Amino acid sequence: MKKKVIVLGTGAQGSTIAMRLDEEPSVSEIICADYNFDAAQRLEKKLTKAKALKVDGSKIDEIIEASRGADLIVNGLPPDFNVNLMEAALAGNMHYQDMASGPVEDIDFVGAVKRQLAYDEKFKQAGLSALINTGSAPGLVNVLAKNAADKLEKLEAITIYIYDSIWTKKFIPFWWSPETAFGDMAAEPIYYENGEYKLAEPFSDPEMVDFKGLGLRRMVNHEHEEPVTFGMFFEGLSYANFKYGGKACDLAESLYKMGLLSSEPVEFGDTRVVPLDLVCHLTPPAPADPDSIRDALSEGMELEEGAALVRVEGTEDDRAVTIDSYINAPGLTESFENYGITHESFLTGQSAFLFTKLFINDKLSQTGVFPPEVLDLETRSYYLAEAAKLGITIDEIKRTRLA
Amino acid sequence: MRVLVIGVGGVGEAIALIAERRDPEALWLEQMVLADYNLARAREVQQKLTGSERFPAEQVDAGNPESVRALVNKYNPDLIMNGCDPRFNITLFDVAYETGCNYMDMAMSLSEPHQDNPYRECHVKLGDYQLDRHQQWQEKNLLALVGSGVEPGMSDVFARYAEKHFFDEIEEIGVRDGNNFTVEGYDIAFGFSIWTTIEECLNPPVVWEKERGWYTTDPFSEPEIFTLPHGIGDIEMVNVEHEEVLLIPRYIDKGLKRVTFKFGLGDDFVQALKYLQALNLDRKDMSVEIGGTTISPRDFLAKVAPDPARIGHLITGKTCAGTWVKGRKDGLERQLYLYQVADNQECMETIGSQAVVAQTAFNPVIMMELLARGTWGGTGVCGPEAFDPDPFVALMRDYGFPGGLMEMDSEYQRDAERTNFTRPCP
Repeated sequence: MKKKVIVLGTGAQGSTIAMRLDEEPSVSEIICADYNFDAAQRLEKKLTKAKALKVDGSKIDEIIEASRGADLIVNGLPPDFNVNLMEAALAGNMHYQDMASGPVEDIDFVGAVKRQLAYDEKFKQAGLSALINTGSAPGLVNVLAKNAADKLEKLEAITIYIYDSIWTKKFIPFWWSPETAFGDMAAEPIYYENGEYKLAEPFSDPEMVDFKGLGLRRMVNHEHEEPVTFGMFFEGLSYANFKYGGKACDLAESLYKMGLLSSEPVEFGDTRVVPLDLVCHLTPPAPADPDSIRDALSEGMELEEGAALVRVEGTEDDRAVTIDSYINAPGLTESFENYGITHESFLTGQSAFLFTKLFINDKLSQTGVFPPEVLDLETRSYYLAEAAKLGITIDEIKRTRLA
Repeated sequence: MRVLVIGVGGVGEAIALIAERRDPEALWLEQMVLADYNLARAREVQQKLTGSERFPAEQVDAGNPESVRALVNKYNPDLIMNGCDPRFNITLFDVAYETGCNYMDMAMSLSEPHQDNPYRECHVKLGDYQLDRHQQWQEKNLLALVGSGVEPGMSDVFARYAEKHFFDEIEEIGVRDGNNFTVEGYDIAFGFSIWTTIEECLNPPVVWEKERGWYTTDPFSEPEIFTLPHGIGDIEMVNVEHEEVLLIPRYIDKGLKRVTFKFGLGDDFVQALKYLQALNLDRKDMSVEIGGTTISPRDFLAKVAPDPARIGHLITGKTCAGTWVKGRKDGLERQLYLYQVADNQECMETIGSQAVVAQTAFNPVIMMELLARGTWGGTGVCGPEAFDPDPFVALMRDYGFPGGLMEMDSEYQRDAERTNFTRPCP
């Protein structure tokens, strides 16, 4: 039976998912819903199965009304709205998918994940699935971490490394919202160690990581969902962390260390000014449409390199083993030339869509609320096979470490 | 001598502390008025000194000539000592001239880059406004001693000292500055005035050559490794806009062909400055509307970033300021580095100021003493090179900031080593 899907939030990721869904024979209708009705309508015009609706994500009744008859809610809104959309999914007997648990105002990442997992029993009782954290990171990397962990007799540590140095000659430091980027980077990173979640200093624990084909690059602690869900769903795990690096991270680190990413107002003359507000005001916005991406690329690239690595450590036959899984995906220039979108939108949007595909093609048998590392082997294998068809491939390197 | 210090931030405070320690009996320093925009700050400094009559605390707006004139009228100083950022130089310099006060500062009036070709050609150079008024100050029988800190200041004295005693011919003079500081808890910290650091480092650096005159280059240009003494070691240094390049060629010849200023900023600091520049956070000429008010990004940055005056206790290491001179002596090629090394923890213990601040502050105090005692004297707008360097150099050890002379690899050094080899000590 064909599926009806509501995509709530028609920003970069939501619209990418909707466009892919439009090509799927198993999808009958796509509701493109956004508080910004113009954005929803623009998307509607590009698609053949779409219908635009204005919906306020803070109002559960509106979501329920808009999604009437849908099989799945795809949440493309900021994580603050997650709970509303989950409530609406339960009320409307729909499956649910989102791309991030945090950041959420006034709740740390552990709290943000736990408040979603609290709905597990309700989704199970309803026979529904709520798949959370389904972009590339978190998302695809969770699948890779689980695949690697299953190959080990004893699992010890998982670290996600995302290195992104896409630097155009025209000064564009971020390819997603600078406000979100600076806010994420200045937040205290959470890591998991021996059964506890611990907070680190922003930009702490610098580590030179030798990426395949790239060489040594500096990586620092960064706030993200993966260490939180890994600590909950990987049995026997003693350490999980997320590290980020690249030119934009270096820039944010410099500003942070000069006190410029603080959200605390500073007395200045007769007024009070929030340093982060000034920095965001002066930072050029991320290119959001093909014309602005083209303009950003017009002066050429100063640097275009990146790496996404999932490193899983443990033992096998009493030997210390490391499994490195590298994600191969197009960079900015290739993504724009081939698909008219940025590398960020490409990898996150496609990775998320592939999770949506599990729902619409009835590949998901598990119920409840869970992140991608909980998916069974068959589902993960299907996911990665579909990813390869979109040009997202994985290189896995297994090494024995000297004791 | 009666001195009115305008601006008692880190350096202004250290000037007062060093002056009192040097002259506890008020033999040459009768009074030093401590004036600051922030009266509480002036009072904070006053509390560290003895005698509120000798060291009165006052509020002043250095950007408002009336406010400065009122203090001149109240205290009738012989000298206005400018302890502010150089953006206040012109106001204070002009008020000193109008009111008949002598004047000292530690950085000269600001440059303005060439509009069409900023990284190749000069437009308004550092100190132009002040040096152009030399004759007027002479006619009024007043002295403006500009650039009287460590760099400019001591470095200019060293250039003159080297010319006077150690060379027959001079080919090149380069001021070279670096440190091996680590700041606990801060990977990026400004050693002195944030506002001035940005001004110096991001403005087009100026170079002087005999054939070309003054010209500018790209920021952070001509990197070189320079080995600093006292264990600081090899430091990568780059061109930075600085006053010595404007002053030294006006006073020193002996065939001088080139003058540069290079500073060891460190890769992380250079990168941080580049990011500030890319985001316009370095801009002093830009107004941004934020939170219902209009602010200058650089002023705000100076307010937010770790205050150099308050992180001294977190710094360990040494800083070295000095003048490298290349030329000929007795027919042989010679290279010298005349330097002063300040250890931060020593400075914190003895003066209560961090090393860069203390190393800057002792120089104007020596110069005030030399002027007060009549050892130095003159009229007009002058750099430190205009005076006999010997009495300055002689006082450095007494002030607790001894200088040093490093003979660098050269024909002259090798010849001296061969000679020394055949003349063992008895």
